[in-house]
Amino acid sequence: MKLITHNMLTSNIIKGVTKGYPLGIIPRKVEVKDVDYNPEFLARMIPNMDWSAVCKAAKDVGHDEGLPKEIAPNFTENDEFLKAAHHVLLEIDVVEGDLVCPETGRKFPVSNGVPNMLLKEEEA
Amino acid sequence: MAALKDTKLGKTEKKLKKKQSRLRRTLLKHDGIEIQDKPTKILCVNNAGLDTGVTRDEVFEVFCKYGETDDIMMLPKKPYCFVCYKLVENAEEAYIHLNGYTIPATDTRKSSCTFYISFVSKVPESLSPSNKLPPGLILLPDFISEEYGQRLLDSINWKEPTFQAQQRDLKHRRVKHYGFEFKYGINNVDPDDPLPDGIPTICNDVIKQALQTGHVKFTPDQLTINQYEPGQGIPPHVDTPSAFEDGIMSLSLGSQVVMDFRHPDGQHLSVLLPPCSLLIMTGESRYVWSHGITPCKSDIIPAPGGGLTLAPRGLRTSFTFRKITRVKESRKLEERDCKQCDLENDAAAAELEKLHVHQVYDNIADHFSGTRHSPWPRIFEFLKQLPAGSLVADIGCGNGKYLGVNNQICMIGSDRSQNLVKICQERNYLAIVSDILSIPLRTESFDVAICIAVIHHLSTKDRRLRALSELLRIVRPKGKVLVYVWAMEQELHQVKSKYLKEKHFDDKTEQTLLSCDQQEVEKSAGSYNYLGEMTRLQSESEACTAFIREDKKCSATESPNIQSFHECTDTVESQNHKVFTITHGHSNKEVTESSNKATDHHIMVDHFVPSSSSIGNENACVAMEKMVSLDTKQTDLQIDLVNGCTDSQSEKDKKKWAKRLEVHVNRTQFKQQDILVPWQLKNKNQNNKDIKSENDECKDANTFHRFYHVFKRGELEALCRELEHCKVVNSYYDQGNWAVMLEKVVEI
Repeated sequence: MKLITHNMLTSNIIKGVTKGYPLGIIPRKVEVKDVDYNPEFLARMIPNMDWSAVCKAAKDVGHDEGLPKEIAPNFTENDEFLKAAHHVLLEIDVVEGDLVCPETGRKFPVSNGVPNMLLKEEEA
Repeated sequence: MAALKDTKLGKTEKKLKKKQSRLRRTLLKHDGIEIQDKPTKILCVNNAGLDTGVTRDEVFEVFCKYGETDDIMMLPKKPYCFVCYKLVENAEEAYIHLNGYTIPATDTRKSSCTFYISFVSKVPESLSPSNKLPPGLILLPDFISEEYGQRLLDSINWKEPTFQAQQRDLKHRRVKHYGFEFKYGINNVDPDDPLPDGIPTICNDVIKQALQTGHVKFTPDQLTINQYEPGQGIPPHVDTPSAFEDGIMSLSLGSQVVMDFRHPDGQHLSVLLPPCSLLIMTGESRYVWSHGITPCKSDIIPAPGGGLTLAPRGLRTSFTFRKITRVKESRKLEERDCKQCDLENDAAAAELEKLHVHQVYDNIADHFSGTRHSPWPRIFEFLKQLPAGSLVADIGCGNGKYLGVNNQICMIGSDRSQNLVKICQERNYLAIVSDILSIPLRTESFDVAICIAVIHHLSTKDRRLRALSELLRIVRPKGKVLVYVWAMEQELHQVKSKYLKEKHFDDKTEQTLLSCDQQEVEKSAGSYNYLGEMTRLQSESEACTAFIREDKKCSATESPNIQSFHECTDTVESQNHKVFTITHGHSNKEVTESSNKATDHHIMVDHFVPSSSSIGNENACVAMEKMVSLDTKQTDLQIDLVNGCTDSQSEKDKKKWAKRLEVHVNRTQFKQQDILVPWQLKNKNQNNKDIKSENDECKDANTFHRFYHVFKRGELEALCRELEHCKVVNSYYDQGNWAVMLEKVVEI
């Protein structure tokens, strides 16, 4: 699970949970994989991201070093920022671990890089 | 001098030349006929064909002035006709006077038509009968004696219909019904409304004899007698698939006639039906090929001494024996319209989906995925044109075939099946496992959500509504939601489906298709190697490619049509588009008599030679499947389902559903909206030798049944109208599916 995916995930599907965001990450295996850097794509993607959640996730998986806490004002032309964003959003891969609902503590397993967000009937 | 002469050609002459050379190309291309420079007996008259609205009588009137004609041949859907004179001189005379002649408009034809004439040495081959028959067609000449034939003819009393509904004078022929009336208005029979007269007893011998041939399994209970005057015919049609069983018999009496069989891919075979012959249409010839009689006063038939000759038609009478289908249960269900099939509550619905959707997809994931590599064109186009940087959710993404089509957008896929998502993950796509009724994605965060072929797997209206509402929830205001569901109507405006047209392909088109796919994939994001994948599939699956598509034939208008993307039931082996095998796995002690018929079709691969040209091409697969599934035609029956599960409770549940839901038969009209559609899983461990000795249980273990709720026209839109903040911006029919484009409306 890339952090770009994590950024879009919520546990508000659980009965009684209102926001369910951002999900905590308990990493058990994290890999860093090289992905081709595409600054235009990133520049367009950044506004869709909840940056504070990106930072929190990066911290959870231990890859927040040197990551800007805020979106740079001129991020579309800021290569340094885009590269940092590229790395954190697309190259870090949570292979094994859990995602944790911030409101209920309900854990969703991540295995082989795939988050399983299925609920039991009574939870929905 | 020659150059000078050319420049002196008048405007009209130039136009005539131009038109003629165009026709030359068309004729050569479509009918393989070359235009002759020297005069011949036969004229090809462009713009005097049925397609331009000109009638045979009009042509006759204009051309008869120049000499006696042998025949005038009007071909369906062609802008030209053929006028055959007895003498070359007459033809030449007609050519001189009529080339460029304009026939005025009439009440039925809005515009005038200008004839452009060319000499040809022959008429299209399709007009002359061929020895080749469509698959499944059986022609038994001299089936009855002339004397018996005469007795049959004498027994018909056209003058005094005993019952009003029994006899009708149609525009182009006269008909009489026994047993049940075929109601042309609805293209069906009403099993609850039998005619007072059953099939006359004089026909008993024909029927008895026909059953003895073994080609027909059902004793007919409906008889239609058609009588054609010379020059009369019947438009191409397929007998309503849902109305009659497989195995339709037609006894020809009186004159010979040439019957035209057409495959939706354009193949055309003319079959000469001699008097006293019995024609039996089964399988593909009954369900896929249309048959009709071109209105002509003569037929081209093989001459006794070789070659062809023209035989005038006389009065022809045909006795068509059919067995009507009786599916009262499904009729009742249908009458209940869009109401869901009898599912007590949501929990039961969820259980049904668990057994007949979720578990099935997990079980068939690899096989299923191996069959899905080509995005549907219209969805592909939609994704391609999205602005760069769009954030798109693909809910029910399957193996992720759309996730990589545009590398300028960000797509996140979600599917209920862990095994399918695993495939997406392996392809380096962003994907999660989740349920469409609880999509764990942020509210109002996506530019677009697509949901292709998913909502039809939900078993109650409430659940389908909830799914749509979830899709709308995750898109931002003004965001779009594209939804595709499988249509109950598998034919629209009599348009031939892409699916059908795809059947016939030669190496050239195949290559083109392949290279297109290749380009698309290469352009797209990700490191997924499409060709590599295809090669892998080919070698791994050693024998097989199965399908995605289910094809159905619906025939509200009694014309052939099958189509659609979707899933299918057959495992198919191929060698250069030839199908060798199929398995249809229903054999069960409880299976009733007619489905035992299906078990007869447990034929598996005899030979398989992997062919690089036919594997990995979805079009090819679809084509094969189409050919195949007819052979495995089964009767709709409520049979017990075995999904290879050992849990006894599950077994019980499955039986419970099976009793309520009918198992859909490929290539037949949907008889109800809620159905189970089988998927035949290929077992990699099977090899050719073992296959025939496989016991039935093994085969059953490989058959999975997926639940579908197929949508009727307008149903999807109606559902969307029940949602808040939802505007239907577009709705359309695409290859056997209903589609809607929704926009999330901003609250003011």
